[in-house]
Amino acid sequence: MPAPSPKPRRNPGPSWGYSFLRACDRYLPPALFNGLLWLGSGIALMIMGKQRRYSFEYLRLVLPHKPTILDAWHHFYTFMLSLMELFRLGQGLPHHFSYNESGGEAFERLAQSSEPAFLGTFHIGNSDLLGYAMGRYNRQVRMVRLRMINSNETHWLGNHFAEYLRFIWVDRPENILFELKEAIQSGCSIAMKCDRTETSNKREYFRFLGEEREFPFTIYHLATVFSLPVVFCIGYPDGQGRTLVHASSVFRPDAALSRPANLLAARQHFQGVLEQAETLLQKKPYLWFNFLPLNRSKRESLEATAFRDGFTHAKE
Amino acid sequence: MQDELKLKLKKLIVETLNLEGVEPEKIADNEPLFGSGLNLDSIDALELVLRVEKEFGIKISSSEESRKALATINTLVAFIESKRNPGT
Repeated sequence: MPAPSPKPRRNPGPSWGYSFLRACDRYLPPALFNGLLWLGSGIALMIMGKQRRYSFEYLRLVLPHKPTILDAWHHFYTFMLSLMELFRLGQGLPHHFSYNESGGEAFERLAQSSEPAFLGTFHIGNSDLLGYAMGRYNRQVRMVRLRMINSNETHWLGNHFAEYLRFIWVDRPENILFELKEAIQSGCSIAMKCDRTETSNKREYFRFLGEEREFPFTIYHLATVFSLPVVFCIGYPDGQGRTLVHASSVFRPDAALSRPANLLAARQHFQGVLEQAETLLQKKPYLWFNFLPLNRSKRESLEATAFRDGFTHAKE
Repeated sequence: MQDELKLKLKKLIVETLNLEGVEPEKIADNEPLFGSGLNLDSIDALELVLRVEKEFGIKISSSEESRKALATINTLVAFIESKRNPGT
């Protein structure tokens, strides 16, 4: 019997919200539209209690001071600005990408080659744009996404970049590995975000924001299985219509090594990627669009296990 | 003939997945490979699928097909033989 389909998820906010914002962006004068975004961010902050709480939870760790309501508003507003960049890209408006000095050259070399790769990123700044924009290198990309019933921007961007972009829906787990296999074997690259653990079955702890926290590690397992490189990119907003891409070094599994040995090297690589992300977030803390509970720390996990074991023991 | 293939597959599983401390000969023909048995996971399954495809020149085209084929050594042998001799 097939497994029951998971309940469809939706983004917070009204179903018409994204279409409304896109229309306003197109027809209102920029100053008026920006005022609307300011106001909209304030309203969102007031009515989205859970997201506000998680914003504070994250900002407490990254800001040098105790976060205020103004910081939380800034966090919401920054998210809105990046969302607008996505909408504009989906409408075909030009967007300029430049690269950081340290990893940019290696990334561009890989992007310009025909070799498929795993492209990792996080919910940071304009990172969402990068997978969509890989077509400028004439690359076929398969983007691993969680399907949201009201995620209009995914639909718009999917249509706009349909020539070289398809989605692999992570909420249909029964065949996802085979979809990935088919995609890779036909020469596609795979883009996935690696900062939320909810849909990953391979998770590990890495140092991030002061603690060892759980992150999805599936991308490296897949890279090792398929012997393909992994590169992480973070899109840092650099003014309207511009993104500065911070690319990591390229991780390449070594065919002469065993899977455990490759995974050991992969852990070091991912720790470096997270350190790079944390450094960026310390400079621009509002850019991590994490309005969900923070990645669980090892300490919390151990406490929960101890509590559960103690409870079971007491019952016996 | 089948026994040779079974032993080859057992060795291939141990080698591909780096199953330390597992002796190929000790894997029972009807022992579940996933879940309880050898406790392999979905990434292991994917790696095994790629290796079996390469080694035997066959194609496993869906998750459902792989689940059935990789249930035990016996099912894997039956699957490979059916792909090699589709008429039988």
